[in-house]
Amino acid sequence: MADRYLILEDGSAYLGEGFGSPAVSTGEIVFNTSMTGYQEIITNQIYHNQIIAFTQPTIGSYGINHDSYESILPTVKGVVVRDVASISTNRQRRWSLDQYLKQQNIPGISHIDTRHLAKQLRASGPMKASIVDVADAHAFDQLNATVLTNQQVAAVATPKPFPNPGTGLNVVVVDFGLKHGILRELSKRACNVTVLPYTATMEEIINLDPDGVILSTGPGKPQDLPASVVEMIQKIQNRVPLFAIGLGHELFALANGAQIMKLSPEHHGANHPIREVITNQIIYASQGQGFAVDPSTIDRNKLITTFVDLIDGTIQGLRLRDFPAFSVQFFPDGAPGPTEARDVFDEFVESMQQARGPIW
Amino acid sequence: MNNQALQKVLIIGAGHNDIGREGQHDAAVTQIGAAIRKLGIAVVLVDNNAFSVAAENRFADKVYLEPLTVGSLTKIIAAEQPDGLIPALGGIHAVNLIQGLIRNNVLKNNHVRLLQWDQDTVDMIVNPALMSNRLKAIGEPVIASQVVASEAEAFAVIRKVGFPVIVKSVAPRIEASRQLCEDETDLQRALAMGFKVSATKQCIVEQSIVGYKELEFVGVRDQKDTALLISGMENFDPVGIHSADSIVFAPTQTITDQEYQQFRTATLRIMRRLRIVGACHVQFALDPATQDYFVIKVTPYFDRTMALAARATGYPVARIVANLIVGISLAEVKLPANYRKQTALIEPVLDHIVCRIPVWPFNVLKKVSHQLDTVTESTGSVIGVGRSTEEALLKGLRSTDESRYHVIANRPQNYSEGELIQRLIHPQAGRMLILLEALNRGYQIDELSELTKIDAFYFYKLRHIIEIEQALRERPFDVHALGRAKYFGFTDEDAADAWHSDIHKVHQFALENEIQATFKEIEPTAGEFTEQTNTYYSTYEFDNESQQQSGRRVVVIGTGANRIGTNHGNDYLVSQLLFYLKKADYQPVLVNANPNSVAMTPQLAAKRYVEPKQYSDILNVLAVEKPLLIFSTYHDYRLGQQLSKAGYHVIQINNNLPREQIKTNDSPAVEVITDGVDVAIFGISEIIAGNNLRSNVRGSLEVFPIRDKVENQAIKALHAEIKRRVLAFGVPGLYTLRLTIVDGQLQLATIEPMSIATMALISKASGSSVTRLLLHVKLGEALPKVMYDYPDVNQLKPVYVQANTFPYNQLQIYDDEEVTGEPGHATGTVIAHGETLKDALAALEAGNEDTDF
Repeated sequence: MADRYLILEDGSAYLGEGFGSPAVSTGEIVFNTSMTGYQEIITNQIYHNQIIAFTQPTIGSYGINHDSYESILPTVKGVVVRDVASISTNRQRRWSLDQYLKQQNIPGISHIDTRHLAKQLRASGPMKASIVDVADAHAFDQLNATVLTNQQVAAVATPKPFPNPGTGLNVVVVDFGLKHGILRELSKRACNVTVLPYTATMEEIINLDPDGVILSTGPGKPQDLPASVVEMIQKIQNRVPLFAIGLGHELFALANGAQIMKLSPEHHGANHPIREVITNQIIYASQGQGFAVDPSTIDRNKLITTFVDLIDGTIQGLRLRDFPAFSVQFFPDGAPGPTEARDVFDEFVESMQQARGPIW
Repeated sequence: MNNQALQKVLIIGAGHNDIGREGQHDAAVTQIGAAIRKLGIAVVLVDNNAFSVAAENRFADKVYLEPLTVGSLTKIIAAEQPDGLIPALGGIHAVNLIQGLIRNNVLKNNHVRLLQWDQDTVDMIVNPALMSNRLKAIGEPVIASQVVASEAEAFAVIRKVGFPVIVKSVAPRIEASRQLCEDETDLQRALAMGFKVSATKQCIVEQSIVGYKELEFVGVRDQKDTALLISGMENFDPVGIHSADSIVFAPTQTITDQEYQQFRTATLRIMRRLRIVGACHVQFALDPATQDYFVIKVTPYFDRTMALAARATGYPVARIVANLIVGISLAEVKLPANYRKQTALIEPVLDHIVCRIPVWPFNVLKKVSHQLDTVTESTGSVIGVGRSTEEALLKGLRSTDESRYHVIANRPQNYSEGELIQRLIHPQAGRMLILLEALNRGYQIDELSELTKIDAFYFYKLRHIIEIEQALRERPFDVHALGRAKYFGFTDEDAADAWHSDIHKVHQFALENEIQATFKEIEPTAGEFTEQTNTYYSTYEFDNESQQQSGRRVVVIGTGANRIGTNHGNDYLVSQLLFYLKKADYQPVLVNANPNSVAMTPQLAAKRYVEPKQYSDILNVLAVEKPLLIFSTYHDYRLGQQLSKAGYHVIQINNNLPREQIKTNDSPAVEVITDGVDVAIFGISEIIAGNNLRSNVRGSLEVFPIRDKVENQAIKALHAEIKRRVLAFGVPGLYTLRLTIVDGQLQLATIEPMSIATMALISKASGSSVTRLLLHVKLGEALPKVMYDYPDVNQLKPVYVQANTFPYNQLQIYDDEEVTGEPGHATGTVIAHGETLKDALAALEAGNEDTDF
């Protein structure tokens, strides 16, 4: 395979071997420490416009599985690994990672000292990076000149509503770049789901007569979204049960007066202990966050902190004092990652049932 | 649990090393004992393992070198009145003893709390049928199985489920294996063996899942119900080959996140539902076609897989478990400053790959079946650590010593197709070479995967190894070919062989072209946080993380895999050496690839390299460390010579010459130490035949000290001659001088370096380590300074006896010609003492009811 380079905005360059697409691409590079679930991570829209460096050394060893997509089309800008595996394909796994990245026009680079890269990124925070054929001054100039879009949600969220029919509770999911795991968990609970674009207004949502609303995960910085999103949340959270995840959680916090700060180092993995404040129980969940709610800006009369990351104390969950509206920063659906946080979907279902009153 | 009351705890050790019991238990006792003592709780240890490191060096407050029997434990508990009993460190034998203590109400009558487990967990561990029922009750899938007490009952089961079936013993008195039975003959043999070792004379017959993927998961849980996964591991070999005889990878290599989470969830759920405090190992079988799985085994006591999980991740399992045992939660555990504050709570993630490879005794025991099946036959294992599957595998293979030069050169190229296919279908030890040869002959990957039930992923890796090797052969002294080969785990030796050149030339060529090993830390966060485990492995990448150890550095070459016979005491010697080097203000740096080694205990060495012991691997370590001295043991004699030649100052400490079979019943010997100027006598030992102990005894016993007047007087008379003979030997060290009787007179016969077994015996008899003395005379110190506080052994009251233990029963060797009891077949050594020799022998026998001497 061809020699290629991973170059970083601080001027460093790593020689490696190309796989996947031979395209040149640029994005923000982050490292992820999950040991399984590369397919779910690569197809998670939160990584829109980002290059993912996996610290797990062998990636691709079980190919691409038809039931492990977290979006229809991946929008990552690159995959950085120590080693990419060759595999035999079969009915469950029609494609190898290499083939898949070729199809999706995503470059990969292997033979990288990903441990050193992770340590470098741990110190620097995310940087712009490119996967290129030649690491010359021109390539660095191009990299430095590239301005990454801040319209990431617009790029990945659905432009049109679509249904995911079920026979149970009626749920509206507002899509900021949603992870399929959310729909999977709702399907398991028989919910009748309508996914709306993130530009949906309070009226559009209420017209669907939902039992509850979910604000989905998504990429980027919450402050980059139009103010109308926050206004929609402010109106809806008092009317129907609301559950917000990831970017949705950050928007929910903004809607309730808290500030969002850049998180350094970021969380990309599934191994941090997270304490549920009310029970004092410690759980593990999948995380992918570059931003966090600033704890000093929380209005304690309005919001309760429900989950805390025990490593750096970041807020991992919030709840409104007076309404059935709550949020989590982590990905409770797993995919990839531990499954023990899935209980919060049950909690959401319960809050919808309570709000609806007895069914009989 | 009221933790305030916990002031004294009792630990039951694992006894002598054996198949499946390599040292991981003693390593656990060493660390957990020390950690619990640090928490202000007194530790009482009972063990009869002559090579126990934990039983020396004050890792416990009080050590009883007593038989591991319910009777002797009952007396110790009555005398010591401990508050708690730690059950999980002594393996299955300790669990059996605890069941006896519970049944006899010993714990209840003495108000001793069983720590870590509910009492019914003890029954479930001993009786797999109870465990199976409980797992079923909590919703975990288990294999259909039935308890039988006769052949007729077993055949009734067969009529329902059909062959193949697995037979295992109920409440086995030894670590009994599961037997795969394909037909009636197999079944009859397995039942006979199973009934024999079963305390209840029962066996379990169960449906076979041979060919499934085998996964092993290890978790920890505290009393507050916080639980996390330490490591998920995957067996290269499918179900059907005992996991101890299987190559194992950490982390899992071929399972999806959905499968991985399924096992993680099940492991933690089992720990929670059984209320296990501490660590727990759960084995699973996965049907790769359907994602369906079965729980095969739940092991809540320390075993080889927990040791592997600890070594692979760098997560300080033993230290953390010590805290959990005494009631501290994962959130409260205080680790030393080199770890991050919350490390106990972070689920370990790896950015390296670890490959464990078993080592078999077949080169010594010729008549044992070389077939790999559900019976454990490996005596030890090694790990290879790398940044790719290829590198981890090649380093692991290299560490076994079997393929000293390289995997390709040793391939069975002369096998016929028929033989090759037979060996593919019926795997034997050293199968990796067969798999490589098959690939080389053009067998298709999917075909091989179907034939062997090994995931195709691994065959792609093996094929890659062959491709790299071919490229190396075709391009002599090509920088890129060498760089690539080394990047994937090959060495200078491999290149020298491929290029028909000399290792030194290749090494020089590599250095000139800046192909240099880099070292990475084995730590549990994949670089997300700063952790200092001081444990490193080599790879060929950009960044080197290992800086030269400060202070008076010495490199100690560890023993590698536990083997039958010659080196089973070596790990004890190395551990002692590390301990006393540190005491003497040296900074010992250990090179070792044995995950079960006590020497790998974090407190012992200042720094560890998990590396093979091939010459070029050692040179890589030495290039970073530049030590003042290198210590190696006799097992690595050739390596030591090579390093001396390369200009390093090597001290080849001791030796482990297999003791000659002593023909006479009584063979006294004088045990001495010399600094090269003076000679001091420890006392007289004697080797006596063991065949008056039991009907099937073949080995010999060693007794120390002998206080027979005649012999002691004879030694006085021979004193001048002893001194002359020892000094003539010239080298400071420990020596054994054998005596013979000529014309009714005792005379000096031979002089040889003291065996490790004798060192252990004298150390335990005197309560003071002779390894320390050996170290100091080797370092050039004068005898009077070294010996100043050493007790006069002849003034000590008890007589100590020591005997080797053999794996014949485990390996199912019943052939009289092979069951010789020669030291070369030993896997362990037991020790006992008494006021008189007769008492000591009685104690020795009492403690080893199920062991052949």
